[in-house]
Amino acid sequence: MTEVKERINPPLDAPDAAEEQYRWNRRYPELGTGPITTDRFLSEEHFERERKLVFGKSWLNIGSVHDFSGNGSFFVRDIAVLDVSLLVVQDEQGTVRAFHNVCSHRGNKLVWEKSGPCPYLFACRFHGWGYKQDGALASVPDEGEFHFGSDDKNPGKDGLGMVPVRTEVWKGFIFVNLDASGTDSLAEHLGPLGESLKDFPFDALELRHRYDVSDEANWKVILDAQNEIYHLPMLAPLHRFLGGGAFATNEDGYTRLLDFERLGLHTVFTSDSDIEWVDTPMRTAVAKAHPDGGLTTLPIRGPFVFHVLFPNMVLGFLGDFMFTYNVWPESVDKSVWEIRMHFPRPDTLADRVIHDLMKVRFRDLLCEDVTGHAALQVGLKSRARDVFVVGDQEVQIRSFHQNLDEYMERGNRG
Amino acid sequence: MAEKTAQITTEPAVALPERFTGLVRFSDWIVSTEAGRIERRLTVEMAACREFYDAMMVELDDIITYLRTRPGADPSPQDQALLNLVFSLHEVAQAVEIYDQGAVVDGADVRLFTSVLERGPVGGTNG
Ligand code: FES
Ligand SMILES: [Fe+2]
Repeated sequence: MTEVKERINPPLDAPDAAEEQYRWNRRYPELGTGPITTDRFLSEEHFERERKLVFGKSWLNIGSVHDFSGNGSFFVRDIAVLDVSLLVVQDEQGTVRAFHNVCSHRGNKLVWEKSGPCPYLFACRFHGWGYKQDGALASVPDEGEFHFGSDDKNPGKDGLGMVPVRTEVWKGFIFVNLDASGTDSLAEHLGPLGESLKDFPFDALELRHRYDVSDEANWKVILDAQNEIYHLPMLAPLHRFLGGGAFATNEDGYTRLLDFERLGLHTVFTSDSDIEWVDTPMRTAVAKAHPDGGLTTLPIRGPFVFHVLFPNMVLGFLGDFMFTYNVWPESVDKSVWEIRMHFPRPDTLADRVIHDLMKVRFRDLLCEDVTGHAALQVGLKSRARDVFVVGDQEVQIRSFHQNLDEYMERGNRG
Repeated sequence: MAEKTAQITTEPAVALPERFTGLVRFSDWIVSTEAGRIERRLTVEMAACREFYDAMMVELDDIITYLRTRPGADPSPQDQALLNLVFSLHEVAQAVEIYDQGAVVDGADVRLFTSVLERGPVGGTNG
């Protein structure tokens, strides 16, 4: 090997860079060093503002094309925080549309099934009005008794389709925006984050597992707890094991971010792993027998990559394994943590072993986290302190809350 | 105590690929669902878990070497049975290597984490 004497871009995990104190504050001084208020995780008033100014206005990821069973299929997405039920349809040509899942007759929830192939018409259970895949009202039993279009108070039949919701698909991820008067495109919302992943081969990955976990915590408690690796060497047995080097640590055993970037409303951080780290006997044996099984073939920016897509989505990579989170508030202190795991198509059955290993470990890790989330909520709820402090290795959290505050302020003005 | 959400179910016996028929004594560990494998990890005694783990560790190199020769899609029933056996090892290894018990220490009930894709039609399930 030739020695590279001068590198234009020194590796980001060079020890001196990693040990630079307040590294992220130096990069993003505008984030300040102040504490985070307790109230924002507890107050109904704050939750109400989030409902109206964030979830009611922002682009929200509601799943991906993997959630369809193919062209000509649908799924229903209930969003508790917005009190809406959506019918999401992929038509025969592959176009994805979302509608309010509401019958135009007298407001019945139209489709009660969770998902499936599209019926000939989506028929309301109450009186049988039938709608096409594009939302148009196609059939009305005893139609002659209605006053369609008889005067300007009575819409015609063509004005009585399902009410569409702004829907856009990015890289297979389906986003909706419930602000009917909003004008920002999904591309504008994703901004530099969308740009940074524009060539990523998402097609190479398939959805394998999905966990919908009830979580006794405010949605931001969950996001924050996931959005840092400072806790890894401490929280629980598997965390401690992985904190021993699966995530890179300094000489004192503390994790260090490899990189952190603000990307518009969104953020990304990366972490490296220690080369000397030794996995468990079973995993070491599998890796030895299938050495190419764990190789990263996808163009990711670090061994562990964690994007937070404002407001409530996470898109992460651990080698060739991709996970997404959608944290859905149910109330101020209760959420559903929706977790999806994606893997490349396996070349051999040995690859499926590698994938299952990854799944089991990651799942147990998150199982430890769930308890942590609930404990955080209990502690915050005691209101022992008005504020809590955040370190430089938790800069992601600082950035998220600042983005949230600014977004709500803009929404209030606009 | 969390309520039990799944029971150990005995699945119809599926043959393993011929060269691994020695593992047939562990056929109770050939379980086709994640929920079922988790249930065994949580309820089978640690001594039996360790016995399964130890026996599988001896065979693991051969098993993986064999699986490397098998195409990734549409496995035969025998190969699928072998995979399901290895997937059970993955669960049990968490108990043996990390937790020293089936349940996640300082964590939630791992039964919360059974893939909803195994449970039939899925929609947006919140609300
Ligand atoms: S409410 Fe749907 S047909 Fe009457
Ligand atoms: Fe964690």
